[in-house]
Amino acid sequence: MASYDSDEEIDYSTDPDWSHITPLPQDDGENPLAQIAYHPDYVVAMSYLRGVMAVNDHSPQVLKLTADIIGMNAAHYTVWGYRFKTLMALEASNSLEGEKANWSWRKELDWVQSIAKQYEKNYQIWHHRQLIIDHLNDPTGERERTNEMFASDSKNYHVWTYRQWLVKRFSLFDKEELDTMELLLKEDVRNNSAWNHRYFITLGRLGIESPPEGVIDREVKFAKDAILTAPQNPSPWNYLKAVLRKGNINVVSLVDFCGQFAPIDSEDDISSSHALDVLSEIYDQTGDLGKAEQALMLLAAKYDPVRKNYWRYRKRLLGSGESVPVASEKAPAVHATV
Amino acid sequence: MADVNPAAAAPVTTTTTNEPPPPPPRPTFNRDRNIKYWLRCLRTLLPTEYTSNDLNRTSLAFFCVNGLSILGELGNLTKPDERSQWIDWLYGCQLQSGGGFRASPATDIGPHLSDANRIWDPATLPGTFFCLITLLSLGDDLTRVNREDTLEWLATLQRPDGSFAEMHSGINEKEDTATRDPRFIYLAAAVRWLLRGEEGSLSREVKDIDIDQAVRYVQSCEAYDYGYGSRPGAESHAGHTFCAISALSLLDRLHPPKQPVSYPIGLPNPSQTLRWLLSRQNAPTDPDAFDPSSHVSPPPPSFPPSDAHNGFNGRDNKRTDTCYSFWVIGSLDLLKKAHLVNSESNREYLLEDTAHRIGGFGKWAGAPPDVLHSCLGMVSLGIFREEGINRVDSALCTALQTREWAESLEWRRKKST
Repeated sequence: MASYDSDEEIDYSTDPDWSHITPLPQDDGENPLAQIAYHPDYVVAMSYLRGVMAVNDHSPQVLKLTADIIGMNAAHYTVWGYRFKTLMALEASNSLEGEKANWSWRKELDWVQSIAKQYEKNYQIWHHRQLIIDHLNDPTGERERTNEMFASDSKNYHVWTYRQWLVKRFSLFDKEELDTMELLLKEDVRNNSAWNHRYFITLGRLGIESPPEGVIDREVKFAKDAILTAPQNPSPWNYLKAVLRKGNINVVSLVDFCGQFAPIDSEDDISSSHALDVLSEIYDQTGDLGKAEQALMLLAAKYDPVRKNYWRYRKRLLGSGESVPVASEKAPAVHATV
Repeated sequence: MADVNPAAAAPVTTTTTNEPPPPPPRPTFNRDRNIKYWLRCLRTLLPTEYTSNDLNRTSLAFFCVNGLSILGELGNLTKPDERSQWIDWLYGCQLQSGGGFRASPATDIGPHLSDANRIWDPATLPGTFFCLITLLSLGDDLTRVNREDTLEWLATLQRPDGSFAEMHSGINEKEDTATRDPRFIYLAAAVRWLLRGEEGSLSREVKDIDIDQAVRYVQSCEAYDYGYGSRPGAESHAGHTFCAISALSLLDRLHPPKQPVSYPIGLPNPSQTLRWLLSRQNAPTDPDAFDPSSHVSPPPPSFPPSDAHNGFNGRDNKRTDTCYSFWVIGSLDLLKKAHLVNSESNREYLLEDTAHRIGGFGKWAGAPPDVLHSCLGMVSLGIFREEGINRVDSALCTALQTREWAESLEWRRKKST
């Protein structure tokens, strides 16, 4: 095997590279549950994988076998683990970049990216990448790689989890990170994942620490500006409320801001159910129970009718102090050991 | 007949008036079509597309068996020898030593197994949970389960922060990179609930998991909008929120007692999490205005929104999807708040939009049915006692009968001395 090529077909039964491995067929018993109509190539490759695992073979051709299987089942966690262990073994014996394997961590990362673009809803790919970057201890280019993924799916949960790990692992709480979130939100102000990441890098990571001077004001303004462009978007409303809590600012301070989107005495001008919801909280707190009830009834009757049971339930709780406790942070947002 | 509905006997009005047209007939659950769907899944090969689930075949087995079980037809429409072969297949996934079940026969190397290679054929938390619950659905009493070994193994998966590893994997992974999301706490809580039984029912002393620490970890996954994410700081997600809530439920730590207690219990902000959960119910995305290949948010519903055909999404500003009808309503059921859901609108979404003409449910309107969405769609309807679906249990996502069967097993009782 002179070079590595994942598209190259392998005939395991005739290839001399594989003559030392006994393929082990799957034992599925007499009448299995959930039997899958496997592609014949998958059946053969999996038999060789079992054969390889049985003898703990981590030689260069295993990279080919594992790539072959990943191409047919990218969610195969065992094969990813086996591949990682093989890469580590080849590196340890100085043979990863040798003539036989002719591979490198860089080539692996490029290949992984191409697989990630093919199979977007996949956790294992990102976990594999994480293991490699952690091992190499170098995040260079990784943010760009995740940005490429956001260009095709800006809410990919696995990619965001990876991005958050990357930022934490290499302390990338910098202007570039904030600018990227600003860009993503400019492109799509409804991208809740980007809102969440923005919160994480500005305030969430602090746990119970106080935020630096000016951050609360900046984030309040950022959220309010976003609400002005799309008042019915839940993401910046949740963000705004969280920022206020973090800054120990009472939600009552939003009374005029909410009034712009929910003038409760001028029904036809109401443009946001979220503003009505916050107003009901505010009036409950200030003891204006009549107005609080009015806001909730507008929600139930017209502005958020699918939740009418909930708004009526909230109405029953008015004045009890139970509906919306305005407690300060009860649990630190970031766990100390993570 | 005394119980005839008088309205049904009333003459049909044919006069034209200014009255609004009668409401469309209420959709119904097509029981026969769904029975056929599950029998087909159980008796014929699943399509090649399921290959991506090959390493989690026991989860597919769970959905298929559970599907027919929730319809109450598993005992009627399958033969005893079929069921006993399926039971044998599930027990075939139990590891010979060390406790737990593998998630698929794909990693089983039979007689070639040795101490040097057993790391590639591990027991996993999903494999163990899905095998146990499917065995129970098939009427097995779990007496062939290596109960003590499995519980011992379970405790070794827990980390100091309270989270659980999915399995002891073949690579020596640093804790920092390993999966630690609420799914695995849920599965661990469920396996513990299924196997531990009463104090004194085990044949030897087995170290329990650290429940306080597990609860603390779950609580730490609360996001700033009060949903729960895959780890502290992650975006709220209805699937992880269900796992967080049902883990607490199965550990008997969801509902704090009236008197203050010294151990961690409950959701830190239940009324806010309630609000987040209920906010998941949303109007459908207009298919004409939505480009599925687009990477940005679907266009928001018109304002004020319609309350018809509202399903559930998993995160803010995402499309509604059949499975979230279960993850969200199941969570609310455990919080004893499912009555706040607009269940009729959910029915419209599931029965008129995502139910498929060949039976089962797709992810969303127009999608082909698959076993996960078909099962979860039915459980969601079952929570509201849909006609034609048996009673269900939200925490285990199964027929209530299966939970009651588990609770009735003799080995759970304290051994009399």
